[in-house]
Amino acid sequence: MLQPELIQLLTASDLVDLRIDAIPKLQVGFRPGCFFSSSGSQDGEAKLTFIPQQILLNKDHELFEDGDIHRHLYLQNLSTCPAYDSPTARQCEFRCYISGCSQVFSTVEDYEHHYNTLHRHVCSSCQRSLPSARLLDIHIQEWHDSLFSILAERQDMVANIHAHKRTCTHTHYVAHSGLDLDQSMHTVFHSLSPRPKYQCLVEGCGSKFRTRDQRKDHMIKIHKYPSDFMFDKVKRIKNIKIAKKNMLQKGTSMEVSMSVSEPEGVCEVLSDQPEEEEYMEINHSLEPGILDPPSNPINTVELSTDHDTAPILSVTIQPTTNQQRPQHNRERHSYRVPRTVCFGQGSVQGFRGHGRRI
Amino acid sequence: MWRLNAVRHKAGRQGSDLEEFKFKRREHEKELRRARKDSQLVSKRLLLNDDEEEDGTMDTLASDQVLVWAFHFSSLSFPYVLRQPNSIAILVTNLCGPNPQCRLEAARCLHELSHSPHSEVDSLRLRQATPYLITFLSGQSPKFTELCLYTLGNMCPDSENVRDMLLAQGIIPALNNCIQIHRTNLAVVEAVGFTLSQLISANYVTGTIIPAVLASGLIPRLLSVLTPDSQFGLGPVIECAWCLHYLACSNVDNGALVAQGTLLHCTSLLVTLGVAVAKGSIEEGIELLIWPLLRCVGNLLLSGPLGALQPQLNDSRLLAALCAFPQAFLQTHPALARESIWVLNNLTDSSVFCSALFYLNLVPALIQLLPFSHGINIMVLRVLGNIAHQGREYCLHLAQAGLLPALCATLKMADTEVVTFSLEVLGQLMASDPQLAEEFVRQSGLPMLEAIQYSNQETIRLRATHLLEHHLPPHCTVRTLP
Repeated sequence: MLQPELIQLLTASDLVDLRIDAIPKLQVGFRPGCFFSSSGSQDGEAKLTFIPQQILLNKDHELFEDGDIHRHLYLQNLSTCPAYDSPTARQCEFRCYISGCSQVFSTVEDYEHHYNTLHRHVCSSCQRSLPSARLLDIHIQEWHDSLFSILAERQDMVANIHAHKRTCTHTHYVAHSGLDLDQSMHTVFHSLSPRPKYQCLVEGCGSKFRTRDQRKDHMIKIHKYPSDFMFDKVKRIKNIKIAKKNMLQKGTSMEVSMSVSEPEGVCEVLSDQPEEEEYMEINHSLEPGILDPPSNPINTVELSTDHDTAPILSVTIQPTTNQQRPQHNRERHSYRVPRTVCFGQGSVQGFRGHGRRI
Repeated sequence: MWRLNAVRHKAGRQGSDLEEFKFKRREHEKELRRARKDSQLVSKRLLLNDDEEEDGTMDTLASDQVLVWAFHFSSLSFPYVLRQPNSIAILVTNLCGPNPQCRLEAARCLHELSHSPHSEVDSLRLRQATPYLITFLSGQSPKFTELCLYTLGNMCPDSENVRDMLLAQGIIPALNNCIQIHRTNLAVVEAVGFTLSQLISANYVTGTIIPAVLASGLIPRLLSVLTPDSQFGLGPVIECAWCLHYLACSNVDNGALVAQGTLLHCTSLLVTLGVAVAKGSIEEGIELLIWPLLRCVGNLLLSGPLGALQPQLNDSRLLAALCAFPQAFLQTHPALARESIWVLNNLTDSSVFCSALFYLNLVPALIQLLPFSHGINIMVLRVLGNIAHQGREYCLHLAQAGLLPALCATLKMADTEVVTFSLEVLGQLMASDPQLAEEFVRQSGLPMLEAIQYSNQETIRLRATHLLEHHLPPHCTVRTLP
């Protein structure tokens, strides 16, 4: 029970000098110039306040309770019993200190597992927990970087218009930011505008892609990821049913309101899977029967340029910061191009007439 | 030792008897705790009659002596008997009478009355007897004296009036005399100790009792009982030790206590007990002795500057004993472990003792106590904080003893007070030398500090932020909350 060193110390022979005043004293005090201030930081408030303090305990102090009880049990002839249950020392429990969490654990390992799973790589914007620092960075870039999302949406818009061009008979020049550019400027514009790059999620790969789908394909083909791997995150879908309902109702309409409950406008309306906390989601584009049969299964951002009959789905990408996104308005489809409306020379600018089905 | 023997006998019971005993004991313990919270913790002792001496003398007794016998045979008859006119006077007459047998019986009756829980039996009625009882303390008959002592001892907690009365009637010089006369009789010495402890531990002890005790010459006699002589048995030593504890914690004149050699004797005995514990010979009931000694020493350490007290604390084995007790009693009596470390806290206010702890390599033993709750880890952190406060050398030695990884664990504990103290100690270490801050970072301590910033407890939040902002090595970049 007792450590050997202690036993040795206490049972030392008389020849050993046991006097305290014979023990060499360590030097007291801190190095001059060493910054040590127990009186606190610049704001003058004392943060570290500990000072050595001898403690006097009077007879009735609570620290003395157990001993007193033991004494009085002895006086009343009830003290000794070989198997009596006395309070034994407990090991301290551990607690998660993240505000709002307050879970308690009996071992350090349990606590550390909890912390690493739920609190370590947490996105401060959407409170999502990612498995690693790298995925956290990618997540922030792809979901919370406003520049990234502007560029992504512009690219969608570009792709949109390109798709539209194929079916429309008018001559088009892509209207970037409302400017009417001639063909050469248009080409220059395209070559200059940066494109968002979706990085491959596999560490060490380094490949970048223009679209999420391309990244996904890359990971499936090259890195042999399963096709149902959770490539993109799922929104915390609070009103997923409404979203589905909207989609079913609107059928071929252009307006697909993706109801989202999170600031980022992108929502993948999926099955009734519970919200995921990881960066990975199941890409339901390969699961048939969930959404409108005629339409392409909804992808998150990628607008397929290969399907002529596909309704062009718009994506609400709100380029502003989180606070500026009104929760109720999810339908700012400012960049969609309805099939029945054409821009370009000779086209009717704007809507004409009433009751025109859009 | 007759009293502990009695208890050992009880402990020998088996089966359902034992369970019932344990159950009763638990219930009793709860009652005692309640009583303590109400400042009503009082115990009385009943001397068991080991030797039955009544034999065939009844026929020759007079009628009032029959009364005495009636008292003796059944406590249920007390109320009835007491209603008899002059019942106590009769007992007193017998107490002082010529018949030694009757004297003894009368004393026993009074003793049982003093122990009785019956509400009709109170000290008021027994007051008639006290002057006689006190006088008889200077007598020569051990058995008789013992009965008188326990009777008086049982009366002490009853009320302040009773105590004042006893004081006025000269109980303290009488006790002094008694212990002198019967110093070789362990039963009487134990009884003196018990009575004195009852006198000075009662609530609302007036300002006169303790100074009177201190001035009476009782202290040296109590101290002489604190010998490690095993022949003497534990009982008397236990009682005397508790007396000394009550005297020291009242803080009336601890300087006088120290001057009369209390600190020296108590620490010597603690060392002896530490040696016994190290050898593995832990006697049953030894904790009843260690407890009051620890408390006495702990409080006496505040009686003057530690430098002045050092001659009485010169045995370095005291530190070893104070580290040994927690190890030995952690599972059986964690409160004792905590009090042992409390004494260390009072000692480590001086760099001499802090240096000694390192020299004797006792710090790892303390660090090993950090996982334990029950107030133990907080007290250990206080000690470690005291040591760290001494200076850079001390901080470096603490780190060498393995404190930093231990702090990484305590920072995760559920008790906020533990985390607060851990942050304080950590702050001292990190501020004393940048190497220690680096080491802490190497031990992956940074995420802990960052996590604590998110706590809803302001005390630890502020400290964690302070450490992150001011004491980290410069190359570390962390996110601190605004």
